[in-house]
Amino acid sequence: MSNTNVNQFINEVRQALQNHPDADDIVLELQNHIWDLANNYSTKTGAGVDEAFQYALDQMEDPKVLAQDFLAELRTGTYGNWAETKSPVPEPQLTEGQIIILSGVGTLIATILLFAISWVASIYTPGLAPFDLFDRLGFVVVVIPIIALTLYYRDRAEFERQVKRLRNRFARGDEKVPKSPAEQLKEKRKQKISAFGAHLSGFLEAVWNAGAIIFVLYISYILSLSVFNPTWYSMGIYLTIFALSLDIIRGMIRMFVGEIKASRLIDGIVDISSGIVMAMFFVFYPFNLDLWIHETFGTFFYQAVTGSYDLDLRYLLGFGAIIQVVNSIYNVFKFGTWKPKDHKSLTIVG
Amino acid sequence: MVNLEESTWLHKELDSLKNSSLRLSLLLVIRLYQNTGGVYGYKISEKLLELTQGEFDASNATFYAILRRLEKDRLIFSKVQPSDVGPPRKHYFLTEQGVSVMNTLGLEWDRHYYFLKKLREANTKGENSV
Repeated sequence: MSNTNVNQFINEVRQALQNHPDADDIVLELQNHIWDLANNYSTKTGAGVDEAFQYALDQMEDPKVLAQDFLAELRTGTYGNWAETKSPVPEPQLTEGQIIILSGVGTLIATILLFAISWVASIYTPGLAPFDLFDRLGFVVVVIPIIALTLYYRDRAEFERQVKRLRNRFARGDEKVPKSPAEQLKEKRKQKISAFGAHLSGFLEAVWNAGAIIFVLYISYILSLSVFNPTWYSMGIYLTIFALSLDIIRGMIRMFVGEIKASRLIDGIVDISSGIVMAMFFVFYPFNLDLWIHETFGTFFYQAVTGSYDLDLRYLLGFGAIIQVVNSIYNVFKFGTWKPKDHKSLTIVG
Repeated sequence: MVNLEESTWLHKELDSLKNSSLRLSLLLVIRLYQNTGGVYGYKISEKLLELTQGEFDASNATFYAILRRLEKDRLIFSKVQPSDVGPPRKHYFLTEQGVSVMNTLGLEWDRHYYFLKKLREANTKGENSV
């Protein structure tokens, strides 16, 4: 993405500069300026290569206006319009200290959440005391800061890898500007095909997954499996439908807005969705793992290790739900407060 | 109350003032890096924003056009140098003439500021005594 968009921008400036004797120098300066903006933004926010380049391009003026202003100013010596300036100061990145504070807040939220779902679960489960589940899952609270810090360091490592990629790309000279009209035409065609492809593949992904869900439901129908049948079959159906539904959401977003490169928001949506579903399974536990193990393996495994496999599975679901919720909060807010109009959070191509 | 005509006039005056100060500012920033291998375009704009707390901001066209003009007028010169963290860049340096112009312009700005301040003070006192 970054190569294509930067090249397109530079090409448009070059075309607008016509045959100005300084065109090569101007283009080189602008190219370096874009790189510096992207690199600086990346360094301060941890943004990936594509997001950083998109941000840098957003900071630049319209290529034709830029070139015309440039020519006018070189010709007349009357410099620029101050009212149309843009600040290249990027949004702040969360510091290590802030991420530790965020972990603390996450821990508090997780504790409250855990209390709440344990209490709700006890209402729907006969014989389960209000804080039974919390007693068993309380250790998770200690794990929350570790999860958040792990996510933070994982992102840092990913960011460093991307910066290295960015530098290598420049070192190899990948950002060369195609000069001939034939090359420019080819580039434009490629961009159009790629944009259309992103929408089309999103559409196909959504259709394919919808078809898969219908097929799974059909199989469960011909096998006379009730969706609410408390066996491992229904567990598999639930998980399959859930995974396919997430893919449908992803496919539909790709269909409507194109390819999502900086997937901070979509990651957040997917994580929170899976967190909510896991929490629902945790509360309204629909399976009967003990029965299935008993029927399949006899009494050998049944209650051999723990008191109840169902209770263990339920704990795992609760644990997973909390991890997913923390993950989603981290994904959405890791670069500071996210606003719907914050286009930097969602880099779209197409 | 400023009417439209006055506003246009004021706008032009302010543009002219800012552009003149920007030219001197660029020379002053380049001078900062004169003995440390020069400075490239983006770094100049970043330093300028930092030292002026974001006040001296300009569009890219303006910014690079001024650099270009200064180079053509031989107040600055450039060398393409490799970079550890990115593509090779044009690093700018002041010429002897550039240093001289920068010093003279700086003194002129100080002198003008001094007298304008005195005039404004006299004006304020005059207004109070009338």
